[in-house]
Amino acid sequence: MTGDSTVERVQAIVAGIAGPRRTPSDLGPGTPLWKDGLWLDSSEMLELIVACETEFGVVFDPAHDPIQEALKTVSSLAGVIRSKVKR
Amino acid sequence: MNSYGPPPVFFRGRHWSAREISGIALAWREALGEQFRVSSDLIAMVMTNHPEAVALFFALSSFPVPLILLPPDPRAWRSSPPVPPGTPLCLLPSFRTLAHAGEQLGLTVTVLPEPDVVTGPKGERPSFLTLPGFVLFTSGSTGLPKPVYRSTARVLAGISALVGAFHVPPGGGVVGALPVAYSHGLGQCLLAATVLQSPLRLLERFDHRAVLSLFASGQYQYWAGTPLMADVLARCPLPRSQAAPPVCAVGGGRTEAVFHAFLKRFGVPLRRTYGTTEAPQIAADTSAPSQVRPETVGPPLPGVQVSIGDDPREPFRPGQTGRIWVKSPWGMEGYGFSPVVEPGEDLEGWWPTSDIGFLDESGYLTLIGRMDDCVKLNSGYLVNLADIAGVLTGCPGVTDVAVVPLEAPGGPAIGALVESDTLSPIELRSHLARLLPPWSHPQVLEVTHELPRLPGGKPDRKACIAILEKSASG
Repeated sequence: MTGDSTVERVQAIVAGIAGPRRTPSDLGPGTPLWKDGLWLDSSEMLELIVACETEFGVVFDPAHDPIQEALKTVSSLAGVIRSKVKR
Repeated sequence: MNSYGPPPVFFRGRHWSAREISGIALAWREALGEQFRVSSDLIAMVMTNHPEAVALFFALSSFPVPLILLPPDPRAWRSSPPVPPGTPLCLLPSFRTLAHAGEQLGLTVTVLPEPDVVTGPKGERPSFLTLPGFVLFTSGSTGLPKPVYRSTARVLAGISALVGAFHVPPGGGVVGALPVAYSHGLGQCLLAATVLQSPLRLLERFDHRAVLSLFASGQYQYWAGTPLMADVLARCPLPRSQAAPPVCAVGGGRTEAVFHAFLKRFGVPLRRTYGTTEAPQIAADTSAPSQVRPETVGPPLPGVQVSIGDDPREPFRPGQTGRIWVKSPWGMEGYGFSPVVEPGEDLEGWWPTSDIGFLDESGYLTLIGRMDDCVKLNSGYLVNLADIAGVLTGCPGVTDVAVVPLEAPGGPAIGALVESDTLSPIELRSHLARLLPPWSHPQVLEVTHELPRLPGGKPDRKACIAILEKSASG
């Protein structure tokens, strides 16, 4: 438990997309979403964005949101979502 | 010879006029010089969704040698057969880091100079797309990518036939969200805009929010994508209702649920198209909007013939499933790098696709799956293993499944190894009985707590087959 509900919710979404076989037992805020982590492919990344938009009621704006940066780790994605929810 | 020029391109908020792209193309053609025209049988470039790549594409399209289009990821450059060593590889300045990968393949790399600020050609309109043909690559899903050579005339005829059949108006904007390095994206984005002389809105990669915003602008007449893209567009959160281009088309797999969601959200039917790298633009649902059907890819395009069966000269009756054969005026010349091209295996001009499907009474084609995923039983039925896997996966309590062909004493058979902690084979067979015809049920069905897996996590099919064959023989 991280005590951060956004991180935990993102973590649950990520684990659902990666599935039990690819989700490491130590999945945490710093787990990379791609290389040396969950190895989510481009369609899974897209799935992740849409799932987060639905879960948090936010819309990622490609012109203003640092989406590529956000998609590095669970924590970076949660950070962008938090900043959007605050707005 | 045709005289198509580049379309105007909108990219990252900037407008690149057709004149500007032509100007850059001419400057680069000049910079490359005569040596490319006389010293090589081929030229290669890295194709990407960027206006400068479009300019380079048109620059090289005016040389009298075939153009090889390589994708931006150099891991995909290894093909069978390989790109001939010594082939010139022209790299955009922004792709100079790929020079090493090109040299490793034995290519002669030239990094182009930064494009000057160009106002465009003066005087006579330059001639582009005068090259003999293109080499594109298959996806490589069943091995190394294979180079496919198609003449320029065939490439342009195929895409002209498609946009003509869809009645996309000349000048109507095209949304370019597919990767233009591959046959599908090149045809349905860049070349569609080229033959229509329409503005092309080029996206570096699919971004559903960017595409939705283009849809909402009302400036676009044609969007081609994949079932996954359409699915995301149809179900992502959307604060308000909005429009979509009048012609929206997807290639590939089954999309019934997506079709209905897309129609409900945008009021526009999602038309399906069918084609392969070897034979693009085979069929498309060009019906009136209210007549578009989700389950079919439509009738063959005018000029294309489709036959279903083991032998195309003895086609199956309507409704009967079999291999899809194609006779197309814009199919490939062959596999390889012109002038060394091996014609594809064919039967009196009929090319066997790797897909199976059926034609209905009205001549509409429905895709069922790939030959690789199917088993022909002694009873004569062609069974799609992916369909069985889909039904089993949909059974609550199943976490994964491997459905594989087996060699049994009586002939080909189907085996299913199901991963579940709670279900028995009897329960699974009763689930299958509700959803599939009896002749498609697996002859061997076993349940395991954990499928054997490869290091990457995918089921190990060979190990699954061994388990099922042992079970069948025991």
